[in-house]
Amino acid sequence: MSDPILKVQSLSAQIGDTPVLQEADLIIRPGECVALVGPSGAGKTSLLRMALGLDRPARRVAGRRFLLGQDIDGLRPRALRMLRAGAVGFTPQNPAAGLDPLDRLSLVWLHTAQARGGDTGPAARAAALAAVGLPDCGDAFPHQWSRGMLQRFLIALTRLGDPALTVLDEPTSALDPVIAAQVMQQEAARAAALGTALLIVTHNAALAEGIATRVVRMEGGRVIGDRVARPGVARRALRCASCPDEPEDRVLDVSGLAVRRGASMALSDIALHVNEGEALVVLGESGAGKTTLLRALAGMVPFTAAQSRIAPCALVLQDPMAAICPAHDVVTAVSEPLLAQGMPRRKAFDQAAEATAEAGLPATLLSRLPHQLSLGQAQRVCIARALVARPRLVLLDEPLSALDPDAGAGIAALLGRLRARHRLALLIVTHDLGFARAIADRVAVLRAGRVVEQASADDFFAAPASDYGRALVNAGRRLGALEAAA
Amino acid sequence: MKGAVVLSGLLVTILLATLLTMAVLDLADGDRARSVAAARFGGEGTADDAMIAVVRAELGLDRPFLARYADWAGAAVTGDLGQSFVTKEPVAQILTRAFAVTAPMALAAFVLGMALAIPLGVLAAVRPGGVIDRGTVALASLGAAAPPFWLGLALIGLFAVQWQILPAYGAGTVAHLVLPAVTLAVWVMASHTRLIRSFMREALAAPHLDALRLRGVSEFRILTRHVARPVAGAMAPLLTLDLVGLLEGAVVIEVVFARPGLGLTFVEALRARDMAVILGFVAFSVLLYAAANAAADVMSRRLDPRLREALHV
Repeated sequence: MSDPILKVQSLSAQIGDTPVLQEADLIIRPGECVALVGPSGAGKTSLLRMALGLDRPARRVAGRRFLLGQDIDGLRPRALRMLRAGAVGFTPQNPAAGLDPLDRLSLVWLHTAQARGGDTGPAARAAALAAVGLPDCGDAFPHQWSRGMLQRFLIALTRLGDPALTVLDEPTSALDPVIAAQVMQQEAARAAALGTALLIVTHNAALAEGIATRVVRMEGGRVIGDRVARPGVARRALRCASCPDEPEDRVLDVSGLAVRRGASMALSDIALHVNEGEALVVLGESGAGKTTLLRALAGMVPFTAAQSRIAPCALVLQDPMAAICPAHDVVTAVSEPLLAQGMPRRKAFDQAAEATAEAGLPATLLSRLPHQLSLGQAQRVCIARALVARPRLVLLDEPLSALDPDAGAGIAALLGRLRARHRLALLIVTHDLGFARAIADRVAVLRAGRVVEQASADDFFAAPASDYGRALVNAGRRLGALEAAA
Repeated sequence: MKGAVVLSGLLVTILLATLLTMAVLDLADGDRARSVAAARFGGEGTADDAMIAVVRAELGLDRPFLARYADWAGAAVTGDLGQSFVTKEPVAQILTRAFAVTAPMALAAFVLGMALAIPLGVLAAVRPGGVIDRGTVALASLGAAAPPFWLGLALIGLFAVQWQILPAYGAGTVAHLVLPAVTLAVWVMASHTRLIRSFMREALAAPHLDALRLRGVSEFRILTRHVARPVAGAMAPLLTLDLVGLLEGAVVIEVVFARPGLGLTFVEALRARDMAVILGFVAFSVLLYAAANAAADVMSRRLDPRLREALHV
């Protein structure tokens, strides 16, 4: 068997006095694609950082680690830096964490190409960026590109000079499924062809099983499983049995909706409706106008429409932590909509406590501040806040994207329960096709500001009508998020 | 077009500030003619009623408030700030002379203070909780806690009285500059060391630094480029405003060291109710702050590309 690219032997590490890794082992060989999975706080990031010699904030207590056969604890800092720069390409989960906001993308590209001995010319750069579906970066600064574009830029950057090991931390969190499937398959194919290796840290079980050759599971700082991947994991259905489509039951009914952005149109000629108790899932690539649509329906963005009837609705934003004022405890945050309506404090707090309980949070959390909550708990707080004023429709923007799979499954189940109990209608924007398949009654596909397809979920996932819909469903099948075609 | 908007905004600000100043002084107790007469003829109670009446008529203090303000503002927009009520010297000349005394002191204090604050703040941030960090914080707290007038008097006591190596008061030579500049520099050092330290710690905690390390960027380059730039960007607007603050806020120091700079001139004008000098000073201050804000804007935009678009909106 060939020599491993990365080898970690019973590595233990601590932050202060708290152990974050306990006798963790990890071996990655040439040509392999390893998925590192586990819930938040399992030690995935710690293992990744420690394996690469980033010894802050955690420090090594015991164990050994080798990169390309060299014991990195025996290397001087400069030698480690040179070895790592040549051997490892890394894309962090949050693209903003991969780039200095003050450096032009072209400069980052040039420096990395020089460090890895890759081609520094502009033509090579344009070709490498085109391979991940990007235009050339020109003089752009990071803030001028979207999250999804920056993530693809970083993935292209990791390929420069063909490093022996490519590490992708949550590579698909900022990408839409079509791009994600395309890029991930490219990565797996490169590893196999070049004899390099791929390490993917992910919350996305479908991605892990669909792309990786081996799945390493962590929990509580330990590696608890290491096995061959099993493509095609089944998903639990969350849909309600039947939702009749009667005009008087509609909680949302708009047509000819348009939103202007500067000289161009962000959305045009949108016709959508949602029935009481129904879940409509809006799919579409980054920049298609999904978030703008939610913001318009919630009244945060001015729009024009031929017809618009919108029942009292609430919006749940994409990033749960950013959506809660850091100085407000849970009960204050949840009672905000009621206090804004002028409800007396005591009564608002009582109703907020009720809504919080209904969102599945224990009463002991009511006095916690946002930074004392997990992401899953913060998302439940946002959902409780959306429910507290008893809306008939809840608009959700990527409700699972920030969460690990366990927390995500919990939120998905909660949404299913709420709609059954209150006949609550849901309008959900998501990239997660497994979740969409599980919860949607109907699906609308948005592309470049227009609805290009609208169908019942069963029809859509069996035989999508639009080109982009077909690309989405095929991507979902390849990634293992959807069952294969019958 | 855009420049015209900015300039007219500046003009309105100056007019409002001076109108408010005049109104507040008018509402204050006491007879302005009596104060001016007393200042002209050397002390309280020396001016008789006839003299006071002459002064009142000469300065137009018997005319309505708005008429007097309109006279001043009309002349001021053409660049004529009038004459001192007391010495009859042109106000522009008084301000220029005082500025020439204050500016070198403020600049020297600023440069000296920053020359201490930057290395101390950086060293403190690189090893948080270390000996240098704790020593620096203690020094900065001490410097911030020491009242400038006390520190000034203490320095005079040591260097001018005890050892007699530097003059205690006055202005004109470099030697006269040393004690007041050092006194002010301690304040600059104290406040900016802590600012630089906290901005540095924030910049050092930025998540993209690890990505740079993995791409092979050296620790030295991370510090001198990827940490230094955001710190400079955060400090730039504060520094320009602080520099203006030093020019204006050196009142206490100028009183302690009897330096005829902007601060002392303003205090004397207030005491004598010398309206022309007071209004001239206020208009000059607004101009200085506007210039400082504009300079801060330009610097911030140069240092952070994200602001280039944001500030244009």
